[in-house]
Amino acid sequence: MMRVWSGRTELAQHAAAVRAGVLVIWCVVLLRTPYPDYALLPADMFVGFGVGRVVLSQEWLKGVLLSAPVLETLRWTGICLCVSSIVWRQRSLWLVTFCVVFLLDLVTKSIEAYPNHAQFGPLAVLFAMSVFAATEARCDGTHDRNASAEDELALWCASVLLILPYTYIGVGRVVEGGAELFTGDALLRYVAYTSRLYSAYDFGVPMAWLDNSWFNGSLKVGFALTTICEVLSPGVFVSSRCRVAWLLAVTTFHVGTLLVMNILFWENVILLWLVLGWGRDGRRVAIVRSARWTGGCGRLNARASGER
Amino acid sequence: MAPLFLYLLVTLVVLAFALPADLHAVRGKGLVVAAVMLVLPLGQARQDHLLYPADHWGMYTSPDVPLTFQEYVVGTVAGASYHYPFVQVAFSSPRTFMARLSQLITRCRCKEGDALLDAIFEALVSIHRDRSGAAVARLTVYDNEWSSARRTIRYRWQPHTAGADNDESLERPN
Repeated sequence: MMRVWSGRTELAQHAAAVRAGVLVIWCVVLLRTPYPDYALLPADMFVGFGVGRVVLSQEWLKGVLLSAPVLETLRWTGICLCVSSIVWRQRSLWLVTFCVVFLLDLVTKSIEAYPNHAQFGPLAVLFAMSVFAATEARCDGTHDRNASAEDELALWCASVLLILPYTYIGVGRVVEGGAELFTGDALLRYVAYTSRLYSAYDFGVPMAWLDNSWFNGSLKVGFALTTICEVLSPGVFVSSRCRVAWLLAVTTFHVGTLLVMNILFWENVILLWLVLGWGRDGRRVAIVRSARWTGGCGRLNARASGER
Repeated sequence: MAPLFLYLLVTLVVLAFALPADLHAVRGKGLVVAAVMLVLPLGQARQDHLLYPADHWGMYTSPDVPLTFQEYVVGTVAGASYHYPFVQVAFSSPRTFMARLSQLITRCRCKEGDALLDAIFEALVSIHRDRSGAAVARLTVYDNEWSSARRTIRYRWQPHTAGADNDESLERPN
């Protein structure tokens, strides 16, 4: 195993880590979601979004899909496919894995009020890694130039798809919410509201804290800074300093929302650090825009680029 | 159209910063890039969930905060009372599942006896019983005004009788 790992190019190691990370995340989600129990829920509850709405509008298909044996089979098929995809990197296998996971995610979303964007990150990264999942890149003379390009594109696509929601949310907040959102007490009311809602995490802010000027002042400043970070998210592609600052700010934001609002997008935090936090000099983010990779296989890459 | 252009512009900015230098490598994967450029901004602008997962993402974009929140309180035969653990049903996003229940409760405009809601609560109780072994005597949905601590029964469910002979007051102070 170690030999396989050390035989990989740095870029391939990064891509492999992201691939393994996103598949483990989906394994956890599929294992913890009680899909067979969804058969107990009345069929009228399942509506769905996007393609899911079309699938679930067919009564016969809905009847088949929402039966306990089918849901259980799909769930374990999804888990087995995720595990297999960690071991074998074949585009067809990855695309089948993505399709099964996407179908199960559609079922989950069909009993919810709105598509929670917490799951967009893992879904988008799985999609990127599935589309760009050609043969592995190695440093052992069998190095495949196309595989390096695929890895580079996969990480580029995953980075863009992870960053865009933050940018959209930041821009949307500024445009739709306006200055009142930041100058008024809206955030404090949101904190009071969300900290009372049911949550699996069971954190919560004592209401007395919201009357403390230091505490609510810090919350407001943090909210404004987070929005600025979100709007400036494309900066992670500019320099490694921007990327590190952005990662720290967004991680602080996610931990902060856990502590004061009982909300945690743990999948996003893991994926952001896997996709953007790799490498010590920012080369991994800049992989996407900068030059071609010049790590441990630089000689091979140089040769490869010379062949172009 | 203005939101679409705004989000298209944002997408272009992100892509402009992120586009690989080796553009030739993108050749043949143009569909993915095109989808990013078109479907994601379109999903942002439309806000109707049809383009899921290219959907509208918003967090705290409105200064109008809901005045009430709902509690789904389980009462067991043994006398215990606690919030229904929705993480047992919707591991990834229990609050969006609660929001869906809230939509259905609001739509039924009733406090008990709705066939769809009773079937849902029966399933939820069954799932909870399988997971924790708790014998559930009732499941009550409360509307809470977080600013005034006023608590009102919004819907209630009981096994079999569905609360038909329950004489508990529908409104009571917290």
